[in-house]
Amino acid sequence: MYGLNKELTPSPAPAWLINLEECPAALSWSDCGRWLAAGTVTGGICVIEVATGITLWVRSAHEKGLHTLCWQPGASVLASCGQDATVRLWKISREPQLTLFDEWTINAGGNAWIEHLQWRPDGRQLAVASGRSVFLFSSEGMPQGCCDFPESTVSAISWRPAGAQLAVSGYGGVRLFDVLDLNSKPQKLNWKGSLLSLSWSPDAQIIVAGCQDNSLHFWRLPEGHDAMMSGFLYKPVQLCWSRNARWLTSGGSSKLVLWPFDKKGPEGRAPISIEWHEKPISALATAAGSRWFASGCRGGEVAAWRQLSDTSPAARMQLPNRVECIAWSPVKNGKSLAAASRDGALGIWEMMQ
Amino acid sequence: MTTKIPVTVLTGFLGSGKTTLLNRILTENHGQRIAVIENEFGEIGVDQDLVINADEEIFEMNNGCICCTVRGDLIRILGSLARRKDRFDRIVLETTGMADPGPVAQTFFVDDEIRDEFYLDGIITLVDARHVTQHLDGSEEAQAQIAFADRIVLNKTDLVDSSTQRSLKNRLQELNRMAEIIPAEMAAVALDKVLDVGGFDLNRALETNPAFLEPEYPFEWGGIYDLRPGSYRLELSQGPDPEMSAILVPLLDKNESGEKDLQVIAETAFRYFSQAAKPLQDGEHMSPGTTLWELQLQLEQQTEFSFPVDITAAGNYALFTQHTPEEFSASLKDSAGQTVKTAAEHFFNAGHTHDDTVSSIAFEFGGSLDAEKLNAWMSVLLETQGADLFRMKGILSIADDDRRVIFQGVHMLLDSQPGAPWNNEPRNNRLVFIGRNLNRDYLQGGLKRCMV
Repeated sequence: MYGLNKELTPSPAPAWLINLEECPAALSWSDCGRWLAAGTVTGGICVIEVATGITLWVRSAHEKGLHTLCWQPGASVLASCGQDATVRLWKISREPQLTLFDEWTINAGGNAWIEHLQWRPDGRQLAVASGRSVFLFSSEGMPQGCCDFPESTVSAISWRPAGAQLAVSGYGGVRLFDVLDLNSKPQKLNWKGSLLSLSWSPDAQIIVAGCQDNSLHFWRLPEGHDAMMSGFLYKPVQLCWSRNARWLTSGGSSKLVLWPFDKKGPEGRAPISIEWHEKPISALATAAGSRWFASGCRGGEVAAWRQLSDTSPAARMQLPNRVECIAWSPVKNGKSLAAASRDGALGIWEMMQ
Repeated sequence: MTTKIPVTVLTGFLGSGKTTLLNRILTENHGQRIAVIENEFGEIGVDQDLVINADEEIFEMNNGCICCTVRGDLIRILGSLARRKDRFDRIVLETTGMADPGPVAQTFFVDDEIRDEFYLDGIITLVDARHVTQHLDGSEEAQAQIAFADRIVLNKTDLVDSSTQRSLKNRLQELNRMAEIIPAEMAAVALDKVLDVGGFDLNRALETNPAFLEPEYPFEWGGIYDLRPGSYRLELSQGPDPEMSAILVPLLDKNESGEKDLQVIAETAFRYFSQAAKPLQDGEHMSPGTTLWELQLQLEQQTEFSFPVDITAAGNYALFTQHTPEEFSASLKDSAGQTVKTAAEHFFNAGHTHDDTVSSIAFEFGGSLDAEKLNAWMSVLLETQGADLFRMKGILSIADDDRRVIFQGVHMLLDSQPGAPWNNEPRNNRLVFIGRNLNRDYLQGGLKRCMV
């Protein structure tokens, strides 16, 4: 266990501090790293030009509330979903300046909330969870099939890194669907309990779920051998891998607990526990284009770490209250970090080397 | 720390008037902004902007522990509402009559994020006075709905007669001694009766529980008759039980003729009821006195029974019956066949007289409990019977503790805190257990052994 003197940690000023005025539901960077989209729980979306901090456009997208939004990888479609049971796709032209080019709405059927959406890593499909089903759409919004989870409402979805396999979790376990052959039976990873979140290791060898009963459950693929890690104080919903798949960390306490996922695995081994945040962890994010990693807590503190196995952060930032979302710029070697807190404060920081 | 949002749970079977009450809560001028979480199959529409449909999803945990069972749909919905808390002041959660209130209540205690943002203010159970008997007889779910309640709204009382209403109230109170029963027509109840009830608030524990201290009697009814010498008959029809015990006590004091007197006499009658009852066949004389009679009310091909009563001395007589006269169409007739009217009558809080598997048991006793013994006993109790214990509340006197200890619980979840100091007041303990298959002797014996 490492205790740290926070005063020694640099505390960079934000490049931009923006007031979203509502609690943020999601942050998403465009692939090019030029724009940051922020969705709020009351249904608004705003797109910010990162270079200038200017809000380029604002939309009231989901009247009853927004759950999440996500830029399409490699393209310029922003997808959002919410409590009005719709998915909205916003096609945005890049040049000469960002303008809304087109928008359309997908009704996923029924009037259940749409709580999750995620683009396939190659950007060719959008998975949308509504009630007990996950619907697949093309990037133009054409329906392309459906994966059912009969046991309960879908609690999380996660695409296999670089693959056409979709993991869907809910009460009672995880199902892995081959989206290229939806008629084939999904692989079932059973666990009697309520799974709330999902994450693939970057090498796609492990799938891990955060559970309602304050534990983590993971499966080794392709066989599906499973094990669990318990003893968290809270639900370890937030999940994060180091880029080399060597370490897993999660929410569930105020400590950053690092589980070793090298060859031997975490079974029977003590994790590394880094005591830095004073309040329970409420957001985690690994950068896609670098080894940087960030953690935020219910007290508004955000820490940026050069890599997940570091014992002290490279920078600390302070937001007014509970950190709801953290997102790193996806640009290669990008070190831009966005984080937003419950009161609607959104900060963008540049990390120094 | 931001303030927590109160959540009121409205429950009851289809047709009990939940939606009517919900609309009353929403439309009454209280200046509060209310978000509604409805079960998926709402009876009729609700006049409100923020209405969310919930789909009952029970989350059991792998460890099989019942106290970890929560409602997944509520966690999701409340979790989402927590992030827009500035938009409303209160949440009303409507559940179906089939929903188990246990996981609903536990969600507010088990899930830390829900616990941080919301508190369960109270469980309000609506019952339809016309159909509740049928529901209670047929379903343990209905009994559980009553058992979990902080308030029971006995709705549609205009559609039943007063004696039915009375026996209903008795039965409901037997199931749940903790809840206040509010009679209503068209679900019209004062909102302060159903909102801000503090049902799970230890600071307000036992604040309102009318039946909590009313003792249990072995009889449900007593009546005083002013009788002259002559021949009378106690006439009864076949009823819900094959026999019924009864006693006819001559009163010495001519002035003992009011309902209050009856309640005093009841204490004496209580003792007479503890003796073995003498069986009395149809047509046999039921003599006044201190003998407890067991009227035999089951014969083949016979539905009407008559027991002659000879009165030799004029005066007041008190008749106590194990069940209410309505249940057996019982009446005292004079020699001309006319029904003799009572000078006063009172309905008593009977013990567990129905075959309901759910019941509530209250204890009150002086002295102090040993903390260590009590903890040990309670943990065994919760471990072995937690699944059957729906709710518990109590104020305890713990030895070497200057302050009252207040506790409340749902299944295996127990919460306690120190209350007001005893100072020089006499120390006593008051507890109520509500649950399935409760054994009074077991609970009483256990508590006794925990005394200092």
